[in-house]
Amino acid sequence: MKPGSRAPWFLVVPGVLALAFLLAPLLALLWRAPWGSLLEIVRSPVALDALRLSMITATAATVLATLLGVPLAWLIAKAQLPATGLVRALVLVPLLIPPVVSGVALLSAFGRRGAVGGFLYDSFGIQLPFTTAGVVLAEAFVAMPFLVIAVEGGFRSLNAEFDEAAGTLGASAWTSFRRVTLPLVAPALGAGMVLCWARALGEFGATITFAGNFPGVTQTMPLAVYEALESDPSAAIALSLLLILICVVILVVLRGHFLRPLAST
Amino acid sequence: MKKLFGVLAALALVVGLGGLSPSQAAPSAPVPTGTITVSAAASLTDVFPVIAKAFMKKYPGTSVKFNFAGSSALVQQIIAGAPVDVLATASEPTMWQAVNAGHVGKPLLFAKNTMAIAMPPGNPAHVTGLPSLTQPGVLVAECAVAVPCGAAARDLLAKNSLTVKPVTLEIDVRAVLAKVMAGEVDAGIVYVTDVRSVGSKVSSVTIPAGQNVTTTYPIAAVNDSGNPTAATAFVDYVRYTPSALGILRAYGFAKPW
Amino acid sequence: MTVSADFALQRGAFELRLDVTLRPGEVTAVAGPNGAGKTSLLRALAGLERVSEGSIRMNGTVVDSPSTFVRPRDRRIGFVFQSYVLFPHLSVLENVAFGPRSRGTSKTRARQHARAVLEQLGIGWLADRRPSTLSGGQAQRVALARALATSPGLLLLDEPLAALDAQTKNELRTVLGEQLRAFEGCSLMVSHDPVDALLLADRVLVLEDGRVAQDDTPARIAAFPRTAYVAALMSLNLVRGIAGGGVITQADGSVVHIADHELTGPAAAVIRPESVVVHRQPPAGSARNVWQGVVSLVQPWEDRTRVHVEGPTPMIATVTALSRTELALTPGMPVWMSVKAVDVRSYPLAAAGPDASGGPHSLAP
Repeated sequence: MKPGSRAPWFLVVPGVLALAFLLAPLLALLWRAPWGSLLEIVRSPVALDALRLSMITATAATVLATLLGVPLAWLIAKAQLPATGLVRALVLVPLLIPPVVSGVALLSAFGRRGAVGGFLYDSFGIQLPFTTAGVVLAEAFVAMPFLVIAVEGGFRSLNAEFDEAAGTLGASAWTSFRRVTLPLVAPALGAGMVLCWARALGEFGATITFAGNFPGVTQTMPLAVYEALESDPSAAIALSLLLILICVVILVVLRGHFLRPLAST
Repeated sequence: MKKLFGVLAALALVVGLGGLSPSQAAPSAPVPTGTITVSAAASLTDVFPVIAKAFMKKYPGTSVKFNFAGSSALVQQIIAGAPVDVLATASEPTMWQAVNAGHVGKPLLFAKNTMAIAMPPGNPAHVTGLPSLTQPGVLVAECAVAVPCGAAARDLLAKNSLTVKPVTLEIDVRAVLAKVMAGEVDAGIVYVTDVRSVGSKVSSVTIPAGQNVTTTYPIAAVNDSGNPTAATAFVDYVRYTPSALGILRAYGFAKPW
Repeated sequence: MTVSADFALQRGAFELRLDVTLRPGEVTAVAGPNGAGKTSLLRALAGLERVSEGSIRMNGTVVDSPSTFVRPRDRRIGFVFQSYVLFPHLSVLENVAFGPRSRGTSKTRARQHARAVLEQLGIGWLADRRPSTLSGGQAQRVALARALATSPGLLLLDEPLAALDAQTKNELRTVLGEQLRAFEGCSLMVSHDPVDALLLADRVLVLEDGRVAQDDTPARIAAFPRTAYVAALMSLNLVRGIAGGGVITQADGSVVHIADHELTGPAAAVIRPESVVVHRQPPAGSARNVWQGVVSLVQPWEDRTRVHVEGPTPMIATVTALSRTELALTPGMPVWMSVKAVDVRSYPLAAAGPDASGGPHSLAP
């Protein structure tokens, strides 16, 4: 704070309370952690399987969300669709509905008897539920809106003249997108991907409803924690701490990278 | 403010009346009244509310609320201090966890259940018995081992020397049933009572008694209950009254002895 | 490249309609009030907007018509945006190399070529800088270099000097003049500053309300404006010569006193007709510029009168109708003119060029 200026109390007090509210559960976890058996729990096959699966599926879901979400974000921001507001609202739906509901919806579409899934199964024998691919699908579904919204903001705030200038210089649409548009929305895209990844990592309801729960195949960390809670709460705490630690490390490492202002380039 | 005052006044009245219950005047057992929360295994989802209705009819002034989940989850909740009055689990080991932790009183066995195989209507994978479950390409759902129905499924398969690799381990038996009803799996190992509850929504295969395993259901009052009178009354009602036993039979539960 | 633009362009309630031909080597300035359609014309030629009627042809090929459209990237154009629109994430060199690279040149060759273009504009030393670190004048030169690097047939400039302060503007006008003169294609430059038109252009297109109000050489437009707007904008007296010691010496030896004592070399001076005072007798007073002449034309124009005076230093003066009556100004009458040195605005001119050492603009129609 600048010398001579003081933060008003009606902002400081609630702000500090809010921080305490957010930190209390995390600190309590640390306090209740089974420090003695922590290492053993964390190194158990269940934990390692779940961790490995979570990392792989969250990353794959983010890649999928990026490949699909960037074009969608561009369409919403630039293509002047007839009902932009409506499309944007529809994209936000997975953010608003309970994840379990997302899972049910995914089953209706991609389950063995689902609208699309039925066709895939009957024609090609492809089944998505109970597979790791199904986990990726569920995670991408709930996490993609974060990416789309972040990137859409980036596209919208982009000066349209950049693309025009590239065109006058002879660049094809793809060259202009690749060399001008994408680098300029990179910060927004990066932030969107981080958010997407974090959300995918933490997904539970849609995963367990659509993909089921089986160690090594579909039991991601959140599912492992939930199952551990039934039989061994201290193991659940240990796994929770592991998950939190990983998230914190990755977010701290990436935070500086994506929050650095563009002007420093 | 007026509303709040009214509520407080009503509350005071109820508490006062509770204190003035006939039990203090007469030497007979206290009449249960007030609300109790019952944590019950998922497989009791359909039968317990019916029993509760009969209980509430017998003792007007009582109200029974339910909390259904996998037995192990319920036990963990109570150990963590959930404000529950009665606990009914689908296996003795889970109840013993609660007993050993000192959270419940003396459990009484009130029912017995056996396993069955549930299939989607039409039995698309042509499941005819336990051995069908070992065929490649047959998708089987079970409960997670920590849950009584999952432990029972494992025991069932072990007893019959069968190796089955399920595609999912659900956290309660109702979730298994849901996957079967949705047609997402070809078969699920559930209780016979579950098959009975959902009726035509699933096809089923009975497992012969010689191949089958049983699980016994205990019920107990929670020690820190806020309404021990009603809690104990409910436990006794479920265990001893012919009415409760009749309802349990109707739903496919067997006697525990 | 020859560009024939005979089209109408509709944007909401506004319609731009014209029929002009641009010839290679020709520098055309487009002037006009806000909303006249200047930028629309530029954008239509660039392919950033489509015509609704008629056509645009480049070297005979139709690039825009209701039934055909050639995208900007397939036209050989260079566009300098008013706000430069340099790519902020690329270095200056990469910006200038962008065009050639997009058209298929290898990275190395494109960069070599870019460096050459930057050197040509005197800013080779800026090659590795980022656009955000450049001054206005530097950025403008980079934008020009970037447009020129693709060897376009048509160069389009949207208010190239508008965003600069007065001093930088003067410097850059010289640079721009050199480049435009050296450029072999045709160039079209939107500018609201009449000095740009006078000093840089061979031809001025004045647009008003979506139509061409006047299309002629700068000299003739300055001398014979057809609309009030053009009169107000373009009425300027232009003098060219060699500057030094506070005067500009014209080819015939006559001298114009200027306020800038440091200016040397080829230079031009602009005098607004409103600054020219007309006298019947030799004037006394502080004005350093005093010339003699003979009235050749008296043009009443709305609330004022334009008086054309011939002589060694021909001028157009603007006087009030009352003054005209009082002085009884008629063609053939000998008069004296005076202009204060501070009312003379002087500018350096590029070294090369056909008119650098020429005399004042002829006022003959």
